[in-house]
Amino acid sequence: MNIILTSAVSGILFMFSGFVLKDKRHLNILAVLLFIAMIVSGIFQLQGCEVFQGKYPNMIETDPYRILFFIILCLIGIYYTLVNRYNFSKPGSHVSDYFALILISFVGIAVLATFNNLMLLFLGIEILSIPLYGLAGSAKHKMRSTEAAVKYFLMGAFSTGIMLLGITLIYGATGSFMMKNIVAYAFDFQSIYYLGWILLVLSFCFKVSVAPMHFWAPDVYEGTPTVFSSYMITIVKGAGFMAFITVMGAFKITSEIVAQNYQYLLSFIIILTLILGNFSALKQKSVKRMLAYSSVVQAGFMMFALFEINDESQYALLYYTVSYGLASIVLFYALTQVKNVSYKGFNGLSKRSPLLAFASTIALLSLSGIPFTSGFLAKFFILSSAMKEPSNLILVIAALVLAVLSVYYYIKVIIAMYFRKSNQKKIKLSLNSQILLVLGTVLTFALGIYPDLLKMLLNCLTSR
Amino acid sequence: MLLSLLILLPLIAGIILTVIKHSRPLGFVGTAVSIYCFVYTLFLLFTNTAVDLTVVFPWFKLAGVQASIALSLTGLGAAMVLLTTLVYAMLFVYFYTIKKNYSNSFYGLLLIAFGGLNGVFLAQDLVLFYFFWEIVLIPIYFLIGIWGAKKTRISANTTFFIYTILGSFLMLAGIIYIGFQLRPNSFLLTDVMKSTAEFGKLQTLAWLFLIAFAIKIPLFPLHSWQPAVYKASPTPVTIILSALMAKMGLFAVVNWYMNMFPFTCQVYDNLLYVVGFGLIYASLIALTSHNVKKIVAYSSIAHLALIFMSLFSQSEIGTKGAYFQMFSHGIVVLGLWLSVDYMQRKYKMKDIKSIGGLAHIDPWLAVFFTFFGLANVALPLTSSFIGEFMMLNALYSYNPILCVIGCAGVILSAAYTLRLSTALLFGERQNVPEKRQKFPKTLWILFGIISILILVLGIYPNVLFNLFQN
Repeated sequence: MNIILTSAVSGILFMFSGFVLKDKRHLNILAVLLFIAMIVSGIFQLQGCEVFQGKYPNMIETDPYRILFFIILCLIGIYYTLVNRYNFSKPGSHVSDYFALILISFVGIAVLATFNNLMLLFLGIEILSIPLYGLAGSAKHKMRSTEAAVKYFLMGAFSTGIMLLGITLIYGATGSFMMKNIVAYAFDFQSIYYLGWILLVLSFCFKVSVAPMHFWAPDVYEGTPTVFSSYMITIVKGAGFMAFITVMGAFKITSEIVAQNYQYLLSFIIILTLILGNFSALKQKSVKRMLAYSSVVQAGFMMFALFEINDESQYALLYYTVSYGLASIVLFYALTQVKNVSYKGFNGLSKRSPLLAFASTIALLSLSGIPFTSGFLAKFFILSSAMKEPSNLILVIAALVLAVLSVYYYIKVIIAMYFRKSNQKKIKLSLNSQILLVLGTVLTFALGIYPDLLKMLLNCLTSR
Repeated sequence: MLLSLLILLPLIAGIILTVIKHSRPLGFVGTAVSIYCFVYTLFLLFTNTAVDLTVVFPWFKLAGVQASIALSLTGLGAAMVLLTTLVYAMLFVYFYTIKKNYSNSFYGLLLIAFGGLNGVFLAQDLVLFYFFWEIVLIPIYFLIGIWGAKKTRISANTTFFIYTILGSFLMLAGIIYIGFQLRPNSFLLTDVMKSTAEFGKLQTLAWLFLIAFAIKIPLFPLHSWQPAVYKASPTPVTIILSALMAKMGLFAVVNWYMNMFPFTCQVYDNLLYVVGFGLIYASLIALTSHNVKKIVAYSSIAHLALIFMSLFSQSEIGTKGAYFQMFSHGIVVLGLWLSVDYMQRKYKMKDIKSIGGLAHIDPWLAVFFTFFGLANVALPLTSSFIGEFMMLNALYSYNPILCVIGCAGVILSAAYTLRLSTALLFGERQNVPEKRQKFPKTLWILFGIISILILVLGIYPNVLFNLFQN
């Protein structure tokens, strides 16, 4: 309950802070402070120190993994806020409103981190999504932004309907919303419960933007102001996966045929995602749209964690989220700095801003999965968690061969930055962003060389 | 622990050189580091020091399988590290001699590749090996992309990168399968060997690794990236590609592939025919092409194919010969490329038709180039002769057809090497200065050292054989 309360209070606080704090830089500091408050309340919750028990204690639970995931997402949030310090005022002038929306969506994440009931899951997903519709349309004077908001809203409502239907069917089969009652239900291929379960999976596919429900993603991520699409594809996607893995992990699949179907379903989703995402990204002229498709591809990789849900795969997912988050935030920051988001806009960036080019290169290499960056170990962990079944070797090989395509469009950016010349203007970075870019790069390397760093942090937080 | 110095020193120096902004050229740092590494390797290998030649540290653990930082300076790996440090030292000294100042990042990236190469040859842990295997690629990629030939560098470079990444990702799938399906105790070579031996036939898995290694060597159907890249890259990078990175592939075959999948060695006769076909094919292209870099590149493919064939000949003499030839080929090719680079710089050589009659005006260059060419042909008394003789000998007892292919390759190699040196050195003077040219003293010493090495190894090969043994 701690984290839900803290994040809700933070959101409300921010809605009114616009009246008090006129200087936009202070808003930034306030946001960071509130994130820290959320982290602290999360730590308290981990240590079993609840401020408020609530009237329905069974509806929420303290699952250490999810609380840790929440804390990590808050940490990424801090990094995101600091890096984009001067970018929040780019879409429009209501900076405090944007922050309020971001923090309110964190309420959704907090609910997802604690739910023990399908109704709460639904609430969490909704609270997470609705502020995002607002953020997507925050650049009001731009058609693309409005289009993105409308598209996102319509598609989001559609997928919410699917999720609700799934929950209803599961309720119809079991007569309960509580996780512990419904997961004990041994379901088979014929039951209505199975249908509900499939619908739940599909609606999650929508939320994390994997095929066949990914079609909205490129348009929305491209149309949304860059600073907010950065938030949507890192933190929101991570939160979606956190809920996804929890729900999938909770269902006890006892029937052989259902287990088999689950494997087929996942393999189908993954392969379809990787093929559609990679081949579409290959053709793009705009780096932003390419990154949008690449986020679909990366989500396809994250799906590997769902094959066999245990400590390792959960940790792999967390690690992947961190690594992908770091890289994407840096790249989207670079997108806000170049004038033109096409590949041409990156031409000669190594001369125009060596640090930005270097940080982006490391981020791109991390996304491609080159060793010594965290992206490699993320891929390694997540693929290895799917390797319990020998037949998955084919799937892993297919995924990696398709990943070669992704390397191709990532290095196209590197080629533009380093091997092509341009006479565009130099880019001056503020000291703040220089330090943070260096920090991001160092973290990418540190996690890539010594992956236990993250584990040490987690142990440190959970130990009493 | 001191062993990691061979990796860390170049790596750190390289990163610093790449990143810092300094207007003055700092090439001497690279020279110092590479010479130091060379001397240090010599010191480790040929004196009985107390330094432990194997290092094992726990690194991270995944699903109960331990990955460790394990290095070892023994056997073929030791010889390869010696070759790497030697080639690098020579290369950097050569930069000094010709007074060509690249920017600091150039030297920095070269040094990063240096650290990675040493890592590949030292690593005894599968994951660590993969780390270094990949990291060599990145600096080379940037070196070619930034300093390569104007027109072709981007396309050649992209082909190269995508090709090698494809191989690496296939290998990664193999590593994941080994780690989490076969479940060895750790990723150490010894543990992996145990678990693959238990499982018997692992054909698919073996192919995943072999394709990765074959792309790097490169072997016949997977070689198409190589000539374009050799042509497009600046000569120092070409030297590293052909003298060292090709050896990475061969070394991986010896150290990893053959140890992990000993059973498959008998199955691969048909593969050897394909490789043999590649040998002849590459030699014929070398015989007809006009671009000097292309000729040396294809000659390299042919020689490496022969080494690969003899590695699979399942006899001690063949393996030994192949090891020896791996070292010797590195030195010979270094000599060849350095002289080609010198000719390009001084006489603006483009292809074999563009200049001629160099022997009249630059006799020392002619002497050295001819000598390296003869070493490439494997004339007796040169080091290549020892290796090729042993390899052909082993191939004959294994499969005479393969031996015939190998011998044809040697004959063709004589043909194209002599064609090359005849066209450049002898005949009418063409597009060269009238007066006799001065040959720099330092270059004289450098080429002299390479020649002496070739001769010494050709006359007294036991120096190297002893090294393989320990």
